[in-house]
Amino acid sequence: MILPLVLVLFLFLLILVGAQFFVVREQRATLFRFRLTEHARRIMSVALDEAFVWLGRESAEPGGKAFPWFVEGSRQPLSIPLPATGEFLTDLLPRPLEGKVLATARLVSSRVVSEAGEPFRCSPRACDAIGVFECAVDLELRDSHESGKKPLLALTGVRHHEYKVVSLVSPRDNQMPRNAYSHCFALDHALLVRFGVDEFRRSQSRSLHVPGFDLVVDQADLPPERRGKIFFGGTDPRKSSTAAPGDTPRENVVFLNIPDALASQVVFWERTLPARQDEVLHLFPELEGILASLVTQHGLQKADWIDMTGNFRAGTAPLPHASGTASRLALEARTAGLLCQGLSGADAHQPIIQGLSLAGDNASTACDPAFVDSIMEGAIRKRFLYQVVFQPDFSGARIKGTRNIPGGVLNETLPVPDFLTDPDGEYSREFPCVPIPHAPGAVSGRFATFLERLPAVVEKHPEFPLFSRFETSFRYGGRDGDLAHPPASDAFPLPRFFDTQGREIEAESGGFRPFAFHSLWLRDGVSPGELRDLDLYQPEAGIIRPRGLTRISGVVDLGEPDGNPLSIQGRGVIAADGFRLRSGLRKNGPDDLLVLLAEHGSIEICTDAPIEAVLIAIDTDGKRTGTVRARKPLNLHGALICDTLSPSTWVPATHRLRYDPSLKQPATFTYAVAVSELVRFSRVAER
Amino acid sequence: MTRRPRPPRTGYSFVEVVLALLIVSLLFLPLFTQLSQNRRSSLDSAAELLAHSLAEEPIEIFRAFGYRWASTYGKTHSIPGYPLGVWHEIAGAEPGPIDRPSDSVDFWRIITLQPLSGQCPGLRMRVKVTPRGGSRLDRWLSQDEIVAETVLFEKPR
Repeated sequence: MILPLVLVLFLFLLILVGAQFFVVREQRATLFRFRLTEHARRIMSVALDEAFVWLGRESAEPGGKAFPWFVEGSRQPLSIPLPATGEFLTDLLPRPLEGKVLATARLVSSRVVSEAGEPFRCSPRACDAIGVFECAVDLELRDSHESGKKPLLALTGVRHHEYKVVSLVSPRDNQMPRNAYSHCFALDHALLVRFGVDEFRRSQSRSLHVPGFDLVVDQADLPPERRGKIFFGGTDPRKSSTAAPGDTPRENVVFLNIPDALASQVVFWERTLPARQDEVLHLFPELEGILASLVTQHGLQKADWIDMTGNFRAGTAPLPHASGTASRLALEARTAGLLCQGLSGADAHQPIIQGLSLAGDNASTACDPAFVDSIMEGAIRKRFLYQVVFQPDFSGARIKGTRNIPGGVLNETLPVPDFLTDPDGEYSREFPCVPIPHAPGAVSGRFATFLERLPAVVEKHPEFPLFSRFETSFRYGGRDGDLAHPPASDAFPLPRFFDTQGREIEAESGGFRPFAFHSLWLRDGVSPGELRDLDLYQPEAGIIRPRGLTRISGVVDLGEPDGNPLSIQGRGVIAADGFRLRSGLRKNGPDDLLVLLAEHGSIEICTDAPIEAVLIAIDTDGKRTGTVRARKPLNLHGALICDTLSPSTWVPATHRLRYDPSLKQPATFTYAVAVSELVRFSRVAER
Repeated sequence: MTRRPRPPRTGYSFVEVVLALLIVSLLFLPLFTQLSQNRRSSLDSAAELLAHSLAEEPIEIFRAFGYRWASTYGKTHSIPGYPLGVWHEIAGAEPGPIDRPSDSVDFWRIITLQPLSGQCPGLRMRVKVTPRGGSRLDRWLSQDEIVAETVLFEKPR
């Protein structure tokens, strides 16, 4: 009776325990699977990280394996080595497990236009793009004792990241202007002052003529195709004048005074025009009075001057002129002073000092028209003195009179009074021929009368300009020219600027925006304090690592006072509201490139150490506040692009700007590739 | 003389009962043994899962902050409860961003960071978790320690 009961109970318990056993066994199997999957996912994370790191590293430099792959937008998958993951995998997996991991990358998508449909690429050969790339990792875990069998676990992991290919230098043929917007167009120029003409007029030419200040743009040692251009915005004399009432020059030009050192740029001109007696008597009306008194004195019936002559002598001279005889220099100075008193604005600025050395400080190069033509754009003119003086010549003059004598009239010839021929006398000096100055009291006496009467003589000789003037008709460089027929609207070839929509614009226009495509910027709105976190700037190590385009909100301080130069390792643009540079910047290698772009203020230079970077100060709000302020002598090896030059804010010194030839590529692009750590998509799946 | 017939047997002898019990015991013993093993295995799994989650926890945190943060961890900054290189107790359930089961107090943990030897800058991070000696989980967990590892790479920024 009890035996069946026991048997039933036994069977029941057996089934129960058996069921529990299978449940627990499943649980253990699940736990094993869980552990295996956890291992695999951890390996997968490490592998995907390492793959991204490899891509980031190999795309940072042009020689990297991934750099051309990104730039060319290759459709072929790129194999990625994972040495650290392999080592990690071997250590992590318990025996007898073994793993195999393979990583590849592929470009998923790319875009070559902005959100507004504006093309990033300035030419079909350009490769600017933003896109998404995929890192894919295949992982297999096997039991090493069961080779050939199906793997215990096979996972595929993918991550999508964003990448940006940005051209930092695009080809520019120095013989031709651009024909489309390239966001790195500003780097074509060694010096570009956006509101150049306006600043020149407002400062009455002091923007290019400051006592004790010089900016030497030195690129004479560069081949023509690698030289940087020099342009002052608005210098287009063919367009109607942009000058406000009272502003000079009325033409849309800037000029540079030509000093002695550049005297060979002064157009050579020497002419002499003999003056007829009637002209002499017109210019010196007091001679009639003198004659009348002589008639009385000598008891003559009547008398006339004969052979009263003189010479108008025309010549040219540097401005300022320091070599020559004291009397000549004094005469030139007086002529220039009188001219200034008759002019206004930029034309009248005194003291007359030499202009900036925009073509370098080597006189022979600066005067070489081929060299100057290769670097200058727009109407950059030279200014020198065209001087005309009148010198009476009474040495052969006589007085021919008649005297009544009984029975007739006696012709008589008398010498002129001695004071008229005295070499040191009033009538032996040279009279500057200038328009009569507006300033009251500027001239007086005989000279005032001379100047008042001079226009009537000038009108009679249209072929011979008889008024002295500051000559600003000729473009900078060279020495050829005809002062009787100065060129009209002389200018170097003009650059062409475009906005992002491809419309041609002026330099002063709001569309003048370097690196304007917002979507090409890798980061935006970064605070200055984050520069260190982002590894862009390591002050302790003295390293700047630009990569792609980064925009900072605020003013960025770089370097330490009297500190070692910061080493530039990478290529990119750092934009900020403004910059303060306390130490020099030195490129670590020839491929490195740093552009500092101040968008709402100035770039303050507090060091005289070499700065190997491009400085751009352009106010994007159109307030014209973009400028560079050199508190110490500037030693820039790169380029300088600004709204205004504002040399009054620079320390009086000789500042040097050497154009970096790597910024001017006749045929090739310089790119920066940046990859974003941000994961746009991630998935790990079992196969 | 007639023999009085023997009354029929109505019970079991002592020997029979003992034998029967012996047989039943022999039958049920492996069942109960298996039952006990099942229970222990189940508790081991539960303890291992908990230990795994406690080992993964600092890895997730350090991965989130990244290599640069981790490379100076313990020198310029640290998070309470995550010391480097020392065995430390793990706090139990507490209100806060990191919540854990109350059994976590029965575990000890050590976190180590070691630079990678290769060209690629990185840190090898290893977290070991072991049950507190004599604790309930010490009895449950069959392994001496649970280890989780990862690598933190210096990523391009």
